[in-house]
Amino acid sequence: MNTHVLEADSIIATLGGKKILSDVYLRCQSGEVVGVLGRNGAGKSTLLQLIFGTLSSEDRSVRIDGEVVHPPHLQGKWIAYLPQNGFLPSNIPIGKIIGLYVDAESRKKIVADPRVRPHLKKKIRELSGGELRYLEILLLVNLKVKFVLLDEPFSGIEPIYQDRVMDLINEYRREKGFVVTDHVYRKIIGISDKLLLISQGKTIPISKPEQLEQFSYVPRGTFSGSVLPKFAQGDRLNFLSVAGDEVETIEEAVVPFEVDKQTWKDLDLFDQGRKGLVFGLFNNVKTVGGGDRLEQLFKSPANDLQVLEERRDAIRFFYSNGIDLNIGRQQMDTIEHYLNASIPLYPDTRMDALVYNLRNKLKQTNNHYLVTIGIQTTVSTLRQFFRLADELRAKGCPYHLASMLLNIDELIPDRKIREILSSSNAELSAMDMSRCDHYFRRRGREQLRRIMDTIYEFDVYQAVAGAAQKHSLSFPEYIRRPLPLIQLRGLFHPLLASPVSNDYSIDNDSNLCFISGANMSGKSTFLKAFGLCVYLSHLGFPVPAAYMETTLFNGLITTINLSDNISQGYSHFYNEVRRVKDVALKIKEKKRLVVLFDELFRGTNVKDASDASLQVIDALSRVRNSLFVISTHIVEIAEQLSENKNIFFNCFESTMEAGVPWYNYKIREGISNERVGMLIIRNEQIIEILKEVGSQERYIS
Amino acid sequence: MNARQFSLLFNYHLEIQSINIPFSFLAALVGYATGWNFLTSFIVSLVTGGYFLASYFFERRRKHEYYFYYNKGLTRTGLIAYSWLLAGLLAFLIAIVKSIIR
Repeated sequence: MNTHVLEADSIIATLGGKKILSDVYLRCQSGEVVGVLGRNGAGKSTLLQLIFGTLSSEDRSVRIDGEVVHPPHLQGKWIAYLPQNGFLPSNIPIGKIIGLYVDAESRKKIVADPRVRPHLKKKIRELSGGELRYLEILLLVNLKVKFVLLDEPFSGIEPIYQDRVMDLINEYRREKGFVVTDHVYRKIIGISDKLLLISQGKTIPISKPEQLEQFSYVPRGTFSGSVLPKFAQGDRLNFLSVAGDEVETIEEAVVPFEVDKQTWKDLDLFDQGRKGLVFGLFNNVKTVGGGDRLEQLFKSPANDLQVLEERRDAIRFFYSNGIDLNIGRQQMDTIEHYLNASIPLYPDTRMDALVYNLRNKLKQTNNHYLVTIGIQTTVSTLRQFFRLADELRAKGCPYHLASMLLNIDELIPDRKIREILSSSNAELSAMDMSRCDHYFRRRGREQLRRIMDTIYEFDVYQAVAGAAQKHSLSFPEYIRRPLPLIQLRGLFHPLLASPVSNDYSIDNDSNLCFISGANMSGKSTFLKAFGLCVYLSHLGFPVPAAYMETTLFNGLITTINLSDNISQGYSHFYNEVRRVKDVALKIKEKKRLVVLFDELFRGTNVKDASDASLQVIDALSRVRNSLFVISTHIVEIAEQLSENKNIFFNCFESTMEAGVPWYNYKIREGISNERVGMLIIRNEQIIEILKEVGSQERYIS
Repeated sequence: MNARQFSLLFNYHLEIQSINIPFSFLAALVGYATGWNFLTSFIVSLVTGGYFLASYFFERRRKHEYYFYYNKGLTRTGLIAYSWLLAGLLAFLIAIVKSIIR
């Protein structure tokens, strides 16, 4: 077999006024498969068409065996090309197409193919996508050409036909050279001898798959990460570790993070109408959809490490780079209204679209106005968003964002729509309007919805990053270890105007913290701040502390502002007992919990409270895979508990100055025996008021 | 041009004529209704309006099918030119038949 060499360079191509190819070098020789990867709109199809000669450009050099060959001499003799959208005539039976296309020997071979034989009398519209793609490629590889250019041979066909297409390429690669491009990058990587990535108009040789991550073509971790899915070793290429779709996932049982409404209430997370309180600190979203998404995220804490790290990294990226979404509420509302309006679609034929446009220029109908504004706003918003996507990629965005952007890129495969979106021309022709309207409201409706959801998600990231900046929050570090641990530096409560910060840590060796302190010394606020850090860290959100290190837990249970339940007929004490029982049952399920109790058993007499607290605290401290922080005024039990090594004692101090208690709100080791309750009552002169009322009543009687 | 290319060319011609002939027939009916000779209108449309309209529709609706021909070394200009010549030949034959009938 003679070896031939195809070379293409000096190619310059523009699309919609934007230069998409400027520095290209491609070389393919007989017996070789060259894979070309690139995002939508990167210029892959354009490159193949330029090589084939059906697209002209300012500059182009295609050489075969060192000789410059101009189209159309390439076609029919040297190169065959499979376009994305197929090429076989729709109204001729398949048997006749084969007869027309290939010589007698090849015809015999194709007709004998068991995947083609049953369809000889059918027309191509009767074939499935996979059957058609297979037939097209089978015809092309049987032509007497030296090179075959395949544009998206794997996209949109069922996996079994993807494998058959791979088999075909492998079968004919001995006699021909192949240049193959597709978004199904695993197949391309699996079959290629050489790999090129088109990025920013250049072809970049790829020698190992990790490079695809460096150029943000695939999300970080696809090939290099240890936590993320790894692909099986490729059987063809040594330098590339991807062969098929086999994904080796790390098996880890994911137990949801449990939290109840009492905990939400205790931590002051929400109030009515999304304003105020902790949710309000983060709720600086620009769009209504962003607000909905924030609420959804806020109410869905998780303990999936990958999800949390991805979200945290995404928010941190917005925080560090000061990313501004620059898409406002009015824009998104207009798009939502346009998508949900029951208005007939723009006419889809050129003539009808022109007439419709002209008629409305003379006298505009309300429907035309809404549709026009809707299309224009959608186009301008998508343009803005795609520019932002480029900016994020250029700044080296983390895995989660890169993955989202990659998905977005694949969502608009329609070439015409992409041309409209990549153009900077503000004026849309009647035909462009029609195309966009049909795509946005019909064919691409689902895709557009997903893009909008991504915009809402980005809006949330921007809002949360803004809150982190404004309230000096920090991003939690997640520790992979089997036993629980939480370390905090500079912990504060974000709802306070001048909060005092504290350092605090708790782990499985000392898993129960006994907190004492005078009234108003800051015990409840500390518990709330600590609970907030645990909760927010399980959202992947920044936390109110200078630094936080934590393992992941299966739930958070707080009992800080517990009241009675009159509808159920439960007293305050019984409600407390039920809550303690709930904790015990959850722990029994081998769940790893963080449990916070403020003034345990305050709803009963001192003796019962003391006995119950002693026994319950002692029992809880022996559950080493959960952490407990319990504040109490019953310091009398501390001495008995001090023998238990799992319990450690912290307290808040208060000092008396001129009969007035002063608090520094700093947590320290030890037990506080200070009692200021009576002093506070005296300072408020409650007894005097009551005595005065009593003496007045005696006087009247 | 080899025999296989000619078969393909003829196939393209048939695709075009499948639009051209019905349109030219309609044009001939309109021509006849406005006082023109039916066959003359038909012949004229076959090589002018009907042909160009058929080419336009093919371009709009089935543009991707051109690759069927490109891969065999046929160019778009070649296809259109040869097909038009064949349409002209058909028109010429009809004109001869018309003159014989007269």
